[in-house]
Amino acid sequence: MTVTLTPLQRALESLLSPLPPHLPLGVRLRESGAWLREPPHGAELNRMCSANGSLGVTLCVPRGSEALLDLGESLVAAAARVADLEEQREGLCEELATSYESLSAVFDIGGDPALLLSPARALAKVLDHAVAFEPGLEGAIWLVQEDRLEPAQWRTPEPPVGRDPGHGIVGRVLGERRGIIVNTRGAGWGDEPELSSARRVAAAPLVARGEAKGALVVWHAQHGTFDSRLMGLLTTLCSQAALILEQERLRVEAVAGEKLRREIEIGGNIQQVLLLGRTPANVTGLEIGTLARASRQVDGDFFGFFHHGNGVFDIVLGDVMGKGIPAALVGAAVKSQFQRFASTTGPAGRKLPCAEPAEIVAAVHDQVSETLIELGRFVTAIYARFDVHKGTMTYVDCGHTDALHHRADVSKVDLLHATLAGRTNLPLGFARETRYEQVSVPFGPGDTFLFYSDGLTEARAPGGTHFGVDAVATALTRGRGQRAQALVDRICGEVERFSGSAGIHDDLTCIAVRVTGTAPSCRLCIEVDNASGSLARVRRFVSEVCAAIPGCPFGDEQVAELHLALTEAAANVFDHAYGGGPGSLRVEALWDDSELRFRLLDRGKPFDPATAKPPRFDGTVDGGFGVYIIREIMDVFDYTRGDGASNVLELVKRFPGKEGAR
Amino acid sequence: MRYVCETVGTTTVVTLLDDALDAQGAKEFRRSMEAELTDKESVLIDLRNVRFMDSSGLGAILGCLRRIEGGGGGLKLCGLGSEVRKAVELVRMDRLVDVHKDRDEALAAVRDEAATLGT
Repeated sequence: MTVTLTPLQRALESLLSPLPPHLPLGVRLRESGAWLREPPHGAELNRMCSANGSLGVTLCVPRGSEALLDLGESLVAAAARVADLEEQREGLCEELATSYESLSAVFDIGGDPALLLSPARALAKVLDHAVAFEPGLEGAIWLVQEDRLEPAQWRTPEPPVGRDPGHGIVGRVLGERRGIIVNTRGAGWGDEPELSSARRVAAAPLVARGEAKGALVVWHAQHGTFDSRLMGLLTTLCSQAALILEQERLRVEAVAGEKLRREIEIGGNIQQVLLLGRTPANVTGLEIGTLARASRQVDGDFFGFFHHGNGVFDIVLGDVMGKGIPAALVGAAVKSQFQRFASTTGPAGRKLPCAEPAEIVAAVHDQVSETLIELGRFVTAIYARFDVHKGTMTYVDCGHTDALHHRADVSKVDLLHATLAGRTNLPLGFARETRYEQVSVPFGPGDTFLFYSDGLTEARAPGGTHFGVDAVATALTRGRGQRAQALVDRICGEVERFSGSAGIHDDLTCIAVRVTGTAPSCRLCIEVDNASGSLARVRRFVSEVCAAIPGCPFGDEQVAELHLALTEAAANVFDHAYGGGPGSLRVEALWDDSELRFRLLDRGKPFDPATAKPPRFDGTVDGGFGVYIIREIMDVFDYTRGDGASNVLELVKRFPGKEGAR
Repeated sequence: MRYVCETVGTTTVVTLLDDALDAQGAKEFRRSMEAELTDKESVLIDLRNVRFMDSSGLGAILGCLRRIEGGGGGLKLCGLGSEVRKAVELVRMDRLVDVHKDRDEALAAVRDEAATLGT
């Protein structure tokens, strides 16, 4: 009779064969009764013991032969171990096969750097690997997006439709976070539309950071068996897919982080451009120095300057409650309102009369108070107007720090209070109905004013003490006679030294205004027409002026340079303002102990040298060098449109040795 | 701007006589030079008398340069005082035109160049 032996039984058979033939040990197949090892003929077998059930054999030994039984049982046990090993070996082979599939998937997907940048393409490859496992497979990758299950990739005739993630087999996979194989339609089969013609399904979850982010599902329309090999592959592919999703998430976060960094950078630019601005350089009779030392974050400190002409010059310095970009934006908005109401340009470019500081502040307050109250922010500010000809400074203090006034004549520092009666004006945005008073103080040459935000006075030392207004006043006194910028730089240094290791947490904002002279010390002027010889006359005037300055600070070479600069400037006026036609030009020369300033005034067309094209030095053009030459020679070259439709060009040359401070 | 025009060897030498060439004289000077320098191969402008030149004057010289070079010739300058030299350097014209100390040096350079070219 032919008997089919299981591999395990075959193992036992080979273990039995070396036994000596006379040994009375019989091994019988339980099912068929056939002998795996026939006992020797005539052996008396009257004791039967069943052995390892899974091998399906029975041992037969004579009564009393315990030793033989032991031998038999150990052989059976050995066969079982061999059988186990066989199974393991087969399992390992299977695993190896699966691993190979998984490995090639990993190499294919994980090893391609281009896929890192395209999550969609990477997921497509994942699904391709899954459905390649067996011909005829269909599949899909689902991702959970905002509580809905959406198809990310599919290999189906129709694209699957997004749905509720709790549904069907995929829902189970997501909920239990483990793979599922269903080889027969029955209970537990889902009602997913794409599976309607499927006979078997295998699905595995994409898990990242403990959460199910989606699922990989394959199915087949024909009967068959999905087994652990497929699940092994699906599991590997799901790890790859989860990795891809995580990488994408991290990349998006990194971009957002970069965006945040740029926002902070942009915030810094907002601060510089909208809230602050350049220190004004050539204000008649005044010298300005500014300090704007930013703390770690953008802050709400702002300042602005307004030239009105005729020796009238305004400053506003403000501080918005709070920090960060919101405070900065409020500061920028409030500053723009100041610019609007301080401007004297009306509709159609007409010049309007200049409003009083108190009127300007009231107008700004009316404009912004509603919004500020709604935002719950207030703004302290000080608005100061310098009238160089009258020699008075008129200010409106809106709850801000007291400005300081160092008086050169009595060598004393005054604190400028908000009102004469010592009351304070409320900050902007405190209360809707607010009246603002302005105060005027006289000043003389050599006086210095200091406006600052409380970041300066509230700076703390490691021990907890504040820098305080007295320290600022002392620094102001000690710095008297210094140029305005040097003064604020020194104050900044003192605050930094004072803060030491405690660091500075607020922005330091400070403006120093030094009165260089209520009127220029000396002045000469001429008037010329656009006629032959007038440029030569301008040059002679320049020589006279240079000779008239006490100490003759300019040597021959520099006088020659001034000849050239002034000739160019005057020629430009005749060419551009008067179009080569008749017109008169007034040249004024003013000087003090540090610089010589020429002012060219004409009543021609506006011509702003800043709009001149840059020169070309390759010989292809004969002109366009004038502005360039002037800028090369002079320290300052500015154009303003003056009162009554006139142009004012200012050319300043600092005395040798005094060019440094800026 | 008044000037004297003479021929030395193959070179036309223009000596300016007034002490300043500025915007108010440059246009007229430029027109005169256009006429004088047509078809001239080698030109030397002697500025020994000029104490002041502004960008218009420099522009007029540049105009001469283009006219001469357009005809295949060469332009040299000589006799620059310190002010004029400063202006020439400011607009970098010294890179476009040969500048010599005086007339003799300039004319010697013209002879050397001719010898090298074998004309």
